[in-house]
Amino acid sequence: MKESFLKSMAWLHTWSGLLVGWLLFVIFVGGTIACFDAELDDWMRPALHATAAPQTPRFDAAFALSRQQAPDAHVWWAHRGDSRDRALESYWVLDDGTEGQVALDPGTGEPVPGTAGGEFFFTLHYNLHAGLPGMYLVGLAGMLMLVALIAGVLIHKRIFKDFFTFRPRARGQRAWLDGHNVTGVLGLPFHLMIAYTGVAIFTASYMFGGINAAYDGSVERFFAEAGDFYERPETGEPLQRLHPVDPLVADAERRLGVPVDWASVHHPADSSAVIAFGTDHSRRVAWDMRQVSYDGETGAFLHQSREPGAGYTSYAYLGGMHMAQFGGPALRWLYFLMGVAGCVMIASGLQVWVRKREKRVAQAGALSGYGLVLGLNVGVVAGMPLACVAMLLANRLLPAALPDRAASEVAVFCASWILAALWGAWRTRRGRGWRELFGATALGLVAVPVVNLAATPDSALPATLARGELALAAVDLTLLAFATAFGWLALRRPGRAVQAELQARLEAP
Amino acid sequence: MAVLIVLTCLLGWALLSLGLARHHIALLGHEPALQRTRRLRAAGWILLALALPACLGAYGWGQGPIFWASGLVLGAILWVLLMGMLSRS
Repeated sequence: MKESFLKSMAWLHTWSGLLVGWLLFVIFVGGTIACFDAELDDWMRPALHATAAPQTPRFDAAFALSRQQAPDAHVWWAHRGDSRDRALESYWVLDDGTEGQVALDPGTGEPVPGTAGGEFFFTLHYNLHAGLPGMYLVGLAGMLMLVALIAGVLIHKRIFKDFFTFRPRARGQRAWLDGHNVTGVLGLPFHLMIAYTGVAIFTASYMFGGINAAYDGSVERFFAEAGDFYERPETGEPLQRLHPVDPLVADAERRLGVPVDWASVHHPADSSAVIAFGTDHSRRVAWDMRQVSYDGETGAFLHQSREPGAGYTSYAYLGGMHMAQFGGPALRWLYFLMGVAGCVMIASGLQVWVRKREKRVAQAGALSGYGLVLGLNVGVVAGMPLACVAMLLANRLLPAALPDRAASEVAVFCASWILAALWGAWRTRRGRGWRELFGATALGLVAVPVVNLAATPDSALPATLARGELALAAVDLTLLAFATAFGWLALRRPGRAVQAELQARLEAP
Repeated sequence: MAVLIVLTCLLGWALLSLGLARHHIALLGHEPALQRTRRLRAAGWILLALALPACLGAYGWGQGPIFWASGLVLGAILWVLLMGMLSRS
């Protein structure tokens, strides 16, 4: 009984892990980078470097731009520039769900060159840029990760004996298995927490029975009621004139008791227009979703959301624990490093799968299941970091005046990933794909600070360090640290076992 | 402060692992006496435990436990990496 239970758990761990391993790797890399999404947004807008965000937000400048771009939007939304990300962001959603976004200089209100920014990785992390289906896919991967984690603990026979064991110089699968075990077991509290809370954030969308029964399937209505947001139906009458937003900020901050972080205008062309303000989530673990609302025409105070109930606060706590907006840069660094450990856990687990089946993998042709696993391994695990680096390089090298610059950055990301994956899959049969992609990634990582210095000297290390803009400098320095790691991976001398395997593979017909 | 917490946890895990004969031999070259093993383990546990009040003092009850858990995780991983480099093998 016990033996068969462990066997079935081993089966579950192997196949649930393999099935979503590549997807999880993408989600983990995206999420790890997204720990610093706002800082990366800032880094990717060199036009704003060396300026300081003004003390008072200038929402009206952002809404003036929204009016030009989308006069009858469903909602305009603006984010004030802050210490993490200086840009004043103007964002709108049309009635049909299409969205638009422009970043502005918080001082002058002028648009700055567009960028996909750190936001790109955040969206990649939770829906793979594939909307609702992507969100469901990520949720499924998260649930299977929980399954793989628990099954993994159950099948680990020497979990306490091998608690500290890591033998990087061991042969064959041993070193990979040690690496997988160490990052998995020691990182387990983080992995369980991040997978569980990640799935919990969209629980209303994944388990929609209650929403269907009580809210006619509208998740938005559920959240509006739970958070006590103010909404009123459109009248169909045109709005005479939108009340200026900035003069209301002081009153909103007095009522909320904390600085305002964003402002929104719901149906700005209709006489029912509502101006709302909210704050950020930096003060406590649970999200702070409180809002104050004002009449769009008169600016009269309409509503302040009450303190949320225990259920909603529990939910906001889980969500907040996942998103790590509390605790400042220190906590973001801790999450970032644990995220890196998660990436290593997934990548090494995929390696263990291959190493365990070494003989069969070596004998199988390129067009077999094993060939597919080998190709996906190198294509995703070695290809994605290279694509991220290519995107950062594109950010500095693409001309500033390029129309739809953000989309061009994303195009560079996708194109370099596809090329890297094809190259890796082709070369890996000769045992070279991994090293070449890691080497290219290391070179790219070194190139980013150099290109930064050449293309935008005011945003490069000497200037940012001199000005004390440490978050910007940290991006370049982190890239250099990763360059060292990737360089080591590329140049590391293969063990004797690996060399023998390569020889066997080359001699195989 | 967060760096200090991670380092405290790292030291705690280091002492705990040295309390195991296998790692003691790998790092220091000889088997530890029983007495020494006990002392190392006790010191390790105490350091890991002390990191909690430090976190609570620095970050409060709301966030302190999360910092502590993160410190435990990263301290352990960093120590294992370090031990892999220091081991005589």
